[in-house]
Amino acid sequence: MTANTALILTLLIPLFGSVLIGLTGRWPNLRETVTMVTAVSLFACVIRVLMGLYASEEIGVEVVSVMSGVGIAFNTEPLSIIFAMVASGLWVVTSVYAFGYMRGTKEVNQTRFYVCFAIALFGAMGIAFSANLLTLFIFYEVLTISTYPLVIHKGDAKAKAGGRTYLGILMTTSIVLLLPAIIWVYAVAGTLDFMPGGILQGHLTTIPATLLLLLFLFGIAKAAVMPVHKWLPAAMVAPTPVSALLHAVAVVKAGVFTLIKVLVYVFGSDFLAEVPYESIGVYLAGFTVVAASCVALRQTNIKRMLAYSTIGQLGYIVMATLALAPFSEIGAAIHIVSHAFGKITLFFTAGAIYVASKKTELAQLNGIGWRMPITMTAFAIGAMSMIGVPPTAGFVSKWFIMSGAFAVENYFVIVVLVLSTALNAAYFMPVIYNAFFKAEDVKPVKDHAEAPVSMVAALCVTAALTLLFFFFNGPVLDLETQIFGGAL
Amino acid sequence: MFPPALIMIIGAALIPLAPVRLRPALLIVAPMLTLLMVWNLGDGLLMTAPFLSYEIALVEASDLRRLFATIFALMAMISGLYMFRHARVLEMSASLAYAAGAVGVSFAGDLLSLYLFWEFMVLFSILVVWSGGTEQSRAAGIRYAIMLLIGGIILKVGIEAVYVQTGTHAIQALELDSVASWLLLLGVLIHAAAPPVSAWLADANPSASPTGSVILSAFTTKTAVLALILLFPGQQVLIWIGMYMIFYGIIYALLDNDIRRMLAYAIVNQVGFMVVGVGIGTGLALNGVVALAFAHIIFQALLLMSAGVVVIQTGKRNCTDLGGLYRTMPVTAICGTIGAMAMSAFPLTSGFVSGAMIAESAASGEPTWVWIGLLAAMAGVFVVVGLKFPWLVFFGKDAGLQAKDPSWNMQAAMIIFAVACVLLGVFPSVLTQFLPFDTVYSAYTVNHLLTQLVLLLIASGVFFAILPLLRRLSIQIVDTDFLYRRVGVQIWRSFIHLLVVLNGVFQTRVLDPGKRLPQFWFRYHGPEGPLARTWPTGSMLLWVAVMLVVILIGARLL
Repeated sequence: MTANTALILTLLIPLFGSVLIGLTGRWPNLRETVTMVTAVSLFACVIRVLMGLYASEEIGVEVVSVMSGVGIAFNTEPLSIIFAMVASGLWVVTSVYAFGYMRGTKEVNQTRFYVCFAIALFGAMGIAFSANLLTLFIFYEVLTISTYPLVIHKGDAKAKAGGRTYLGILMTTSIVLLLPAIIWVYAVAGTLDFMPGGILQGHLTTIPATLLLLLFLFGIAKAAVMPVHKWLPAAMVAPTPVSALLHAVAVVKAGVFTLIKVLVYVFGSDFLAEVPYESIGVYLAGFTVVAASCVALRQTNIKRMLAYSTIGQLGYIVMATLALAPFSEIGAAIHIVSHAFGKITLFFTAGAIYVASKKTELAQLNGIGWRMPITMTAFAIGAMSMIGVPPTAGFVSKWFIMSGAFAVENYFVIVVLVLSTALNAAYFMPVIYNAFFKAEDVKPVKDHAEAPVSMVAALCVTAALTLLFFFFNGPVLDLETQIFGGAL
Repeated sequence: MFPPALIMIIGAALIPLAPVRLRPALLIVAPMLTLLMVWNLGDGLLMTAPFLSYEIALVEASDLRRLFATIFALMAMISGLYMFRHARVLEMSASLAYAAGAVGVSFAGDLLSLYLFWEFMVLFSILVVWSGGTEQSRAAGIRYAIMLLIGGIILKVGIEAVYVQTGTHAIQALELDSVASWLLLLGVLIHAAAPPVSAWLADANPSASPTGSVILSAFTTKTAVLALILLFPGQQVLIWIGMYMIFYGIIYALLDNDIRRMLAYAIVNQVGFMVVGVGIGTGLALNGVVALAFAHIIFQALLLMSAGVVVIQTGKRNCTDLGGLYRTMPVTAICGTIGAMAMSAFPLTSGFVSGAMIAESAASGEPTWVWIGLLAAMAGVFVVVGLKFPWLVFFGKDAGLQAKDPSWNMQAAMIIFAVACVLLGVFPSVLTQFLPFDTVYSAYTVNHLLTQLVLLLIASGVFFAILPLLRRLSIQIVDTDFLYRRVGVQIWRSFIHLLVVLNGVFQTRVLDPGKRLPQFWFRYHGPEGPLARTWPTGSMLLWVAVMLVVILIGARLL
């Protein structure tokens, strides 16, 4: 199998997988086997593409060419392979988790759930491997639409209201802001292809460039820069596997990934450095980081707190990318991975708690650490990673972001990082304390221990990844260095 | 080759898994093995590991580092003996891991590995505070965690800044000529409980369990002292900071009524002596700092052990509720008194020699006020700890409490440390032969003995003069943490208020109109909307006629 075939397969496998899942919906065991096979073979294909990249094979496929410089085309580069690896690899783990969760909560419409999940992964793969802005935009919308049924999965009024906000914000921003921005780029540059060094240099004067930057910043609402972040807490009405893989990994990372792609391959770092008031973006993202952490402090629901934490962590990535230092770009790209591991662990534990005890609020967690020691230990590891203390993944990315900020003497970024560390500690520490050191308020009606085995296994895997990434981050680091340069 | 800290880390990991009977053994054997390994390490850089594309120096040994690692491991061992019947399994495990972090810092060969072990240490110290299990320990633990994590990140920022500036992570004496080295100093000083954040120590330490207080007294601040010795020897500013800490500690210890908090303020005071010593920076001064750190860990633990016993056995924690306990708990009383004497630099105790070395180094080459300040402070310590603690708790007016001496293991731990205090005082060469810097000093000169005795005599006069005041003491004192707790909370509230307002504006100006837009369209273009429903032919004709008339008139007018 050549790397090009593998590239095409990464798109076809989830697409046909979703059809097969739909067809086998009447036999749950078979359906779940199909899901698993799909997820594993997708991951295998992504690995094949990665090996192709390592062997410097020529990878690129053009499917349709609409007009010159515009078409549906796919290729790969280090950043996209990392995003694809994270999304597809964690899909395997999430599938195992989802089997336990969906059966444990006796959800209805499970077939629709798995079908939409596979289509969402199709969207994510398309975003990862898109070779130009048009392709990226199409798959961006595929991802939005395919996740909508997952958000309103419960079907009650609350879920529908959440879904309206979700679709409303994501669709509106993408059509009103992102699409015009893309057309604008085409109008001035005559192409939409992602090129190393950017395509805008020499085609755009400075002030309009600032405007274009802001259009992208808010148009890509999936990156959740305030104030277009509200869809993320709204999406928390979805079942937990959705929140875990899609709203902590695939969708939000698609957002920051898109933004980094635009900044690096459309604007280009050199041109970006010339854009006046480019630092507005840094300030907006910095504000998002601090404000989201403050809001997270006031949340009472576990998943909503995690959602606001995600908004803050995405802010790091945006801020670091816009800080325009090679090291912080590397840090931003690594944070895509390290935040994914940590946050998916946190969501997995939230779901495990829900399945085992039906608890959803932070105030109910007193003493739960002794009933579910594995789950809550995993929670502690995830929380440590969010705070960024060693030995967890979060430390690695923050280290690079900070190094970069020092290199360009951007003290705003450093102050934001320091503040947000304190705030993160302030909202994660009490949870860990209450779980392990407080006594249970009331004995639960039904005695419970850990959640089903498949869920515990999944969260152990991601917690282990969070720890291991601290020690074994070499491959990711090497890949990033290829794009962003900067001798380490 | 592996880091010596690993033995204790493995021990800490095994404790929760081991059968209950084996746990005390693990708690004591792991530090013992660490000690063995520490004393068999050769000098120099012994182990490196790749990390983040750097090659970090995990283990580097020298006399200085070995001495600190020794006292850390020794402390872990004896406090393990003290705590094992009383502490919860989590507290035992966390304590051992905490001590392991401190041993790791002792041997850290560059700034990056120093930072990694440091954070490891801080994380587990948080668990030790929380193991107190009360509401007070919860709140204090969270405040402690936030303060030390801020300290940690400032340290990290400083390390990165130093790296960007100098291109190396090497641990070497730095000059305070850039933001980078100031940040590094600030990060270390926060962990040393320097002003203005000294309050975290007195907040966290007495909030832990009685056994946890003992553990918490030893590692965090002393690793900070080690870092100061390695990175900032001879920086004048440290003399000022240390002086502040010395008198801050004395004043608050004098005013406080809670016995363990009083002893926690005494830690700030003693670390202040060490910081001054580092600031003086001569070989004699640094030797004094190392000796004092060594001796201080022992006598401070001894004091907190006896205070912990009192709290456990009587259930009371205030000086004014205690008194006359020597009748029923003689062992505790004697050990506690020896600890108090050692801290007051009483001759024939460990504190005498080390304190004398720092004072002596200040006498030559520093402004006179430093020397006078140090002497005054020594007298002050004798008043607020040397006399106040034993007098109000063990002697003085009998409060009628019939508390007994504790179980054998706690007694054994206290006796071992009490013997060590005396031993190091009578035979100082046991310790001084290992001191890293090459200077000769003898504390037992007639001149020095006389000075010290006169000083202590004056101090006891002062103590008995103010004793009636101390008995009535139950005032709530305001510390600097009041400032940042209140002001910080106020700033946070204002920021939240701003967010609420911004959110409201966004909601009413953007989101709500956005939601009304579809309703608006729906009203006019929906199935029953005026622009979409089927109209009767008649009315359609009428409207066509109206339109034609309008067009005609319009055309005519134009």
